[in-house]
Amino acid sequence: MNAKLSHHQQGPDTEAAVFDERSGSLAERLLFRHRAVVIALCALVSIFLGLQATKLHLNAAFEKMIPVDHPYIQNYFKYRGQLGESSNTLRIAVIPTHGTIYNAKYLDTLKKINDELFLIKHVDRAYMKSLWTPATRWIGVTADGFDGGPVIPDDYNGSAASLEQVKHNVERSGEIGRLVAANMHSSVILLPLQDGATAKGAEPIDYQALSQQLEQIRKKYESKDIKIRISGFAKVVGDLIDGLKLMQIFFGVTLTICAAVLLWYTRCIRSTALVISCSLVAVVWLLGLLPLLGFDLDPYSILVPFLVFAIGLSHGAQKMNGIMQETGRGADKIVAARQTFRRLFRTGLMALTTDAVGFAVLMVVHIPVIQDLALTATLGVMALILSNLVLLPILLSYTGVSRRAAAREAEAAKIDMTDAQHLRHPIWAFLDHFTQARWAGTAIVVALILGSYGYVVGSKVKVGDLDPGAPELRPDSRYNLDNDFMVTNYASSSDKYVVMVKTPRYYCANYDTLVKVDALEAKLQQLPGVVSTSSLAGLSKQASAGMNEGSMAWYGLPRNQGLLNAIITRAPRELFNQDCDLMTVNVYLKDHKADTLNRVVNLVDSFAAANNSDKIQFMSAAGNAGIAAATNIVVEKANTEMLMLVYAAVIVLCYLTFRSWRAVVCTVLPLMLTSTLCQALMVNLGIGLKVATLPVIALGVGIGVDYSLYILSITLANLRQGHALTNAYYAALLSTGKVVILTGITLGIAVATWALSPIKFQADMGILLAFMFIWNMLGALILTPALARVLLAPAHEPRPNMVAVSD
Amino acid sequence: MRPSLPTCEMLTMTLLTHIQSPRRRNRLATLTAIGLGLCVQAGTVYSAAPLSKLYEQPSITSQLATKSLMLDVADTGSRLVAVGERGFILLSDDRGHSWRQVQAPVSVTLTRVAFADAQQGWAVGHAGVILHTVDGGLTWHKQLDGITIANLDLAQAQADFAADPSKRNTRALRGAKRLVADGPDKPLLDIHFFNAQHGIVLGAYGLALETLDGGQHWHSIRDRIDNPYGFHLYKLAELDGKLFICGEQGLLLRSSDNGQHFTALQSPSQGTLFGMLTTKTGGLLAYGLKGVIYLSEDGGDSWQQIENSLPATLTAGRRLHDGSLLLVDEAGRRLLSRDNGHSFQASSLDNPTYLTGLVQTGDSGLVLTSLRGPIHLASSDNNNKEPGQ
Repeated sequence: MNAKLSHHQQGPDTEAAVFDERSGSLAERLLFRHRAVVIALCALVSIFLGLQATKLHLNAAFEKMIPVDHPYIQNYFKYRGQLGESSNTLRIAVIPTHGTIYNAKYLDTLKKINDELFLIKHVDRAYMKSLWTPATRWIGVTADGFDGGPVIPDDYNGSAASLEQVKHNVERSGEIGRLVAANMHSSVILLPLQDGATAKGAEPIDYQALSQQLEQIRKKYESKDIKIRISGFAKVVGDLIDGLKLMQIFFGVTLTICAAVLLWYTRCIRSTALVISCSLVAVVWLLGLLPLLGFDLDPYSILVPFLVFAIGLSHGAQKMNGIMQETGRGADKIVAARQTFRRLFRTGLMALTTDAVGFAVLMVVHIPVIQDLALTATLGVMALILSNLVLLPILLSYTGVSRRAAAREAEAAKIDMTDAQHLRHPIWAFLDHFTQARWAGTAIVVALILGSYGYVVGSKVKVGDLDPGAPELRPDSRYNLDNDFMVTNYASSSDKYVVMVKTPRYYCANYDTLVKVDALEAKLQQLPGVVSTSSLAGLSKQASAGMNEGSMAWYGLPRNQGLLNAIITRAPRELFNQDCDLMTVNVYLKDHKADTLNRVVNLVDSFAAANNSDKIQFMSAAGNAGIAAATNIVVEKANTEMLMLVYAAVIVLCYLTFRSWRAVVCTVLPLMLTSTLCQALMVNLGIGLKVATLPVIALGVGIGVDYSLYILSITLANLRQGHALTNAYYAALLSTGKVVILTGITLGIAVATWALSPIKFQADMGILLAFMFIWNMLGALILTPALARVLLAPAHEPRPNMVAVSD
Repeated sequence: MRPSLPTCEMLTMTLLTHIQSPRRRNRLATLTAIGLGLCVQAGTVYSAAPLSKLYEQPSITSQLATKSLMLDVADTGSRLVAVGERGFILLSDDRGHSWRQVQAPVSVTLTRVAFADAQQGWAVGHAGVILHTVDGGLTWHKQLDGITIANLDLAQAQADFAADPSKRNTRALRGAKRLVADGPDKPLLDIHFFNAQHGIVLGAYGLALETLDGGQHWHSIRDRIDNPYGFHLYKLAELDGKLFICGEQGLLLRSSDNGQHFTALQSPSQGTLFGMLTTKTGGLLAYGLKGVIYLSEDGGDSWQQIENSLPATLTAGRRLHDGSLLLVDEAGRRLLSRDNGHSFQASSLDNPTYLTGLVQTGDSGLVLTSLRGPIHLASSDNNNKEPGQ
């Protein structure tokens, strides 16, 4: 007695000529009875959201990349108004191609650039600094007394004498290594920016426009005599946004690859076009929803449309394949569509819901860009439920698939099904081996070894940026070359960690306070990676020499409180606040690698623990490096938290789908192996765990679970009908498994093309996602049946009186 | 909160000092401005008596010590000893090629170091500290600090006043009391040992101390020095049995009685003289602020100005083994004279930095102290690279 092996869950007699209109779920009947309405509604929504999508803006905001709830950031937010210098500062180096900065033409150009930059929107003009700003002063003592003035004197006229004067003033201004390079071959304009994060009520910065303005200035003033180099967060974002425009090309490439592979597989232009269009519809809806909800697309969330498209394609291909098989068996197009809807809607819905929940879990990471990404991805997946699970079958019910393609498919299926030994097709035959105990055991042992390797190596994953400069961009990008220049020529690099020192009111220049600050500085200066430090203590020591005719014999903290009080009246405002109850210790770092930051964080924390009292508190952290340090801490914590939640969500949803914990294990273990190996890959490729890479594993799990769901749901249904595992699995391979391989490889290749992106983190994400797509596919095809052999087969092993297919 | 009294009193004193010196009108104006700021600030800025005692805190060990500000270097005969910021003391047993840090009992800036012989040496610095070593610089202990100095000063002034309550002694007594009230806030700026027993230490605001027993006891000799405005004293030099002191605002003093009395000379300079050097022909060079160099060949009675190409403050000088004279300045230049101080030729370091002191090593190399730590120059580097710059 042969049990009839079915390709699908319900296993009704699909070849029945008569189709009962009233069969199927309420949803199915409702949707298919009003097909025209559904299509019209979708068309209307697409037009409306399509129009909205044109308003979508590319941007990135400084405050969005900050972990807003971390104590360091809370400290920063609490005092940022009093910190003087913004963390969001641009540094523009103006470099004469030959000679020193002391030539009239150079200084003239510098003045013009200075004046033009001054007018740029969002510049915090009060704190802008260059040789030409009035705040740049020298202090000195002459035989005639104590003197001071602007570095470029009021009566500057470009003459040799004036230039000599400027040179002299620069030398006694204390700006060498800060505003002027130590070798005198360049000087810098510091351009602090004001945005929502640094000043209340300021509107968000349009970094794209800002970056363009800077590029215009660069273009206007660069000549054979002058070179300009720019560094700072705002420029990074500007360059990123420029790089994002290239993403359109990548999107196009992905699209083409996917379409070509799909077409090759189906040989049916009609259905290929439909699958791609439906996935694109979801992307359009998503892009339309974003501006409607008030979101921008930032460099991180720009990858979400890709993912949505990819996921859509995977589900669409399943639907199309289903309909093709139905049609091949002779069903008419409506019946084929309804059957497929019936068969795969539940699985598809569960898979997409799992995706959506998996992405939504990223919301626990209290970094706004990641939350935005989570929201964007969740929205996109929900759009897919409508576009690919509902709209696509309905559209296919009108268009049908090409007869030829369907006939081909049916022919192939027939041949495969009659291939009882499963030997006909080498791939299927190979995969089928994993349902045998010996192969299954081997696969599980290999997986265990790989898993242990991944765990050991992956646990060494470094948090934060591992490369100097802007790791978002390539090491040889213009920005990173500019940044190298700054680091090489200026002591105060662009990586600044700011320790805030809180004292009682009017206590900031107190001798005891400064002694403690000086002690902290002495420790910080000794850390590898610290280039220099600056604070009121350091300034007081210099001023002590300065007030004694520049004699270094006086270099040291003046013990006389009166003298200290006099010094702070002349100190630059970025070192302390108006009420003299807060000052900053600026720590300039060689880079913002995780190790460098950790050393500073640990030192400051232990120093604070040993020295904090009611008179003085040392607090981390402001400055871009301080914020990066807080981000690292949050990212590291979030990584574990996020993975646990993603897996919890996947486990719950898989259980709901399968109602079998054994099946859940078969699904989840392969995913875990992939996640573990992905971390090991990050270690091997030198990719750090950071805001950009944190979501990759969650995204990978979300997408990977689809594969398992499609394969296991069919396998399980067949098992439950009493078929042997080998046959159950073989049937699953023939229906959904093919498409899993198809989409897994296609998407893997498509995202792997991102590796060519000029944006480093997108390249990293591309590599990691491609790895996860392909490994998850392999996991679903190899490890899932192997685990099923161990866990599922015994429970469902056919009774002796129920022999499996044996013609 | 009211301004604390010592603060404003000190300020008033400084202002008065300068008012009494009519040629410093500009300086007065600036100081008044600072002073006003100071008194206003003092009205708001908290100013309790400091608790931190860097002059009692052992120096930290730092791998940056050899790259930190070093202010002076001395040769014990077998070892070089350099001193600088944060109480850093560096030793070199290989003529300046490599350096190691030894601990000082204080964390204040050390300004000068001198050795009477291979074992016995002294270092002086901020907060009035005097450190002593008896093992060639390996270990140091504190002989004196600013608190004791103020008390010594007061004791001397009280004794003088008791003996003769003249106007001068009254003022000296008032000054000494103020010194005690100020606390240890004044740096010592020079140390000179005639032998292992007899030494003189000079400092800011006219501080001057003498020991006759190798530093076990010190006494104030402020009253022997003709320095009514309390100018800073930067350097003591010995020439043909006469002693000379130079200091702030061109102060020049001479003692012909082995340091019993120092009388003011007619100074050629209005700017501070940071150092002096004796030539092998009996001349005396004084140099200082903005690169001025003066030469006297008659024991300080008359002076002629020597040309210097750059107005960069000269900070230190030495007579080398061959009798040539070498000065260093804040711009990282060395000025060499082979004609007993009548003319100088400048050469720059490859990587200029503020220079503070120098010593010639046994192999005719040079060790300079600088803002970036000790700099070793082999004897071949010692030639003028950019003559006449």
